[in-house]
Amino acid sequence: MKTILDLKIGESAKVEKFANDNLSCKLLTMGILPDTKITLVRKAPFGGAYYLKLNGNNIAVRENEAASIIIKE
Amino acid sequence: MKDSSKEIVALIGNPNSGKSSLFNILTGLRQQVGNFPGVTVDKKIGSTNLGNNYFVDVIDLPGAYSLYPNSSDEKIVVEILSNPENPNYPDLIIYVLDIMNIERHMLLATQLIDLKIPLIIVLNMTDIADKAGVKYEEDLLEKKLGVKVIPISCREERNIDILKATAFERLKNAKKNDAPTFYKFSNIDQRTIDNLKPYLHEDNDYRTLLIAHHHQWLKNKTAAERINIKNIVAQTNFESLKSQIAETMGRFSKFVPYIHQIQSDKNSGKPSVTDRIDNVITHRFFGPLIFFSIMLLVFQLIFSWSEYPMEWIEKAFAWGGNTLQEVLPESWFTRLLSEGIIAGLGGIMVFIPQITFLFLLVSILEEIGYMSRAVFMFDKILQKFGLNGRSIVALVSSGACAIPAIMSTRTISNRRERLITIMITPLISCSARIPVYTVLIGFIVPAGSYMGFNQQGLAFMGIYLLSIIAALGSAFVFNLILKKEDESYLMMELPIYKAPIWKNILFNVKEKVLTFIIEAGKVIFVISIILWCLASYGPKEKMAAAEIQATEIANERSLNEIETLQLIASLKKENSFVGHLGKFIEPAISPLGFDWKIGIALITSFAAREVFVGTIATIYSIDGTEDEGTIRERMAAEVNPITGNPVYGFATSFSLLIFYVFAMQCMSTLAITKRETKSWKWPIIQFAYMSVLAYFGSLIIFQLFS
Repeated sequence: MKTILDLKIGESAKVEKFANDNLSCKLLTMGILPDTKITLVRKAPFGGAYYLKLNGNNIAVRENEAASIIIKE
Repeated sequence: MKDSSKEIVALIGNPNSGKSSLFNILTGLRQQVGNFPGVTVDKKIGSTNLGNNYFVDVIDLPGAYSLYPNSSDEKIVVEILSNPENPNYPDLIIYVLDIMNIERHMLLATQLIDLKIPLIIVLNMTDIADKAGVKYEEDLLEKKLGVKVIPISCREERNIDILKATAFERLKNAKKNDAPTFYKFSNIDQRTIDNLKPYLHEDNDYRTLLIAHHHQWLKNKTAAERINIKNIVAQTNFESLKSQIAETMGRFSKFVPYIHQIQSDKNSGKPSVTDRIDNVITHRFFGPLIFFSIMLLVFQLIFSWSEYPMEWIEKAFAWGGNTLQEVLPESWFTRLLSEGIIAGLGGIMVFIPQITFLFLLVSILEEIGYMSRAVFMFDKILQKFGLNGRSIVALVSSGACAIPAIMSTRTISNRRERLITIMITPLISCSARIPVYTVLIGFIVPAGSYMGFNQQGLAFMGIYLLSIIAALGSAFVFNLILKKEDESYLMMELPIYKAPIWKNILFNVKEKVLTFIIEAGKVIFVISIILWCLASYGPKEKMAAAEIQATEIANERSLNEIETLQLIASLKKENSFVGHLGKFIEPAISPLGFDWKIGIALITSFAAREVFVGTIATIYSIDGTEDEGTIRERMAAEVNPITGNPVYGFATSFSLLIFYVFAMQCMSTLAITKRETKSWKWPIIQFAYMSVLAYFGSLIIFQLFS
């Protein structure tokens, strides 16, 4: 099972499902849904945060938040 | 319930939708900022003329992503919309939607449709969409949703008149929202709603469902009601989390196809301007470098811009105090007015230039979209200390003044992280400590250079570093002690870079500065009266004796009139209540190397740190000037009567310096902490732990070096 954490910088993938119900509510609200195409743009300078692009918009998430987004292989 | 007969129009939208810009356009100067009861969430309300002098109240509700709230800001929105009895319950909602972010912003729009409150949807940022070549067909969206849709631009004030006319029309004619229900509930949801509706006497399905989700924290529900609702909801195996996920996904899967119909694909694939800027600004190496350069520039600007206004304010208050003393008859009241209240108020007013410029620059950085990038970059590091990426704004601002810094913590949605940020912020060396540092470093570090650097400058840097270490260290300790509550999130959008809308910035700055003046002013007013009384009065005989003694000494040494008055002031201060207090605490502070005179300075500089210099000047009866050079000379000449050594030797000066680095000597900050935490508990803890830190810090330094 791969998550956003397995993406390399610049890689994209479609969302399959979420590993954590609680976090998934928030992620859904931010527009991260199953089948949404997400691109990992970069990691924060000191790590810990991920800069994502979806539907032309940019979002920052923490490592544990990114880890709960399971992607299609 | 409603306090006025005027109708209420609520502005609702996601954060960054441009909602506040619309509020500023609609209400202009007819706006005021208050608080929602019990929480530190700003309540912005104003009135607008919809045409023909038809005035309505406009309320700018906090930004929210959905009716499933994550923060106290978002909870307010649900609190109001789920309760038609709420005094802020709107007669009409204007939903502000960023056309460039329409997918995410549609979620809340469709939730509002289902609440059946009269609704107008405005598509904001059409100016940006036009420039980017993004098309939108508002008529089609209007047909699909059954709600009036108006494209506007707050930046260009486009179509505002149409919006007003439509709002007028909507309030006049159609009281009901007859838009078709957007989301079809699941079977369990529907059964839960059907069971709960009779108990709540509710006529709206979606509102009933929201109460089923949120009854545990909704303030208008009593404990008994909560138990009843809980039992009713349990009958249908209703699971809040599952229902919420299904609802959110259900809504998205219905409106995403609409969006593809009305909007041409904006994903052209080539990097946007924002992408290109972020390649540099959030770069692994250049990102932090740029951040610190920007902050350095911000401080340079704050200090250089504030220099003259601060001088003018100081002079104006000094002039005001003197004039009062000349004009009014000599009495205790005149002195209270001029030496106590006016001097005390002057002590906070002098910070207004710095606070204004700080808010101005931070608001600009926020409006442009830079601050969220800083949050993204530093989140990880700050999390280690129990803080949040969003704390970076406070930590940086506190280098100028802790007050705006504490006020900026409202954006931190996690209560615990916000509290820790508030608690540690005053440890960072603010500008008010600079005059004290200047005097004391002069005693500790000789002028001259070390490896090409100015030695005293290096000492200054060391002090700042120490204060940052103390702040982060304290955060670390608070993080260990305070109980973990809610989960903390980062999940934050990184909006596209935009030119700032100046109107927003000016309103924002004005509102923050006024809050500071009013909130801090109230507390300072009281405390300066108390401190003045303590410093001016003492046991009667002793005060009288002091005056006689001073006159005798003056005769003996044949001093001139000014010198005599200074001597009287000095001896009176020694015999006043503050003087007694100073002597009383002397045993406690002598291990730190302080005598009772320094004790007096410590007590009076509780009002504000920079008072130290003024108090020292009075005690040593230095000619009316507060020139640091003169004061330093006088202090250097002070000799301990018992040992014959200088009082301000290396150890005492160093110890005093450390005391000023750590001690909480700013009543304005305590007043703001009280306001922001809504309790006396946190300012008291803040005062206590910083005092302990100061005491033991100085103790260690003095014992090591004496």
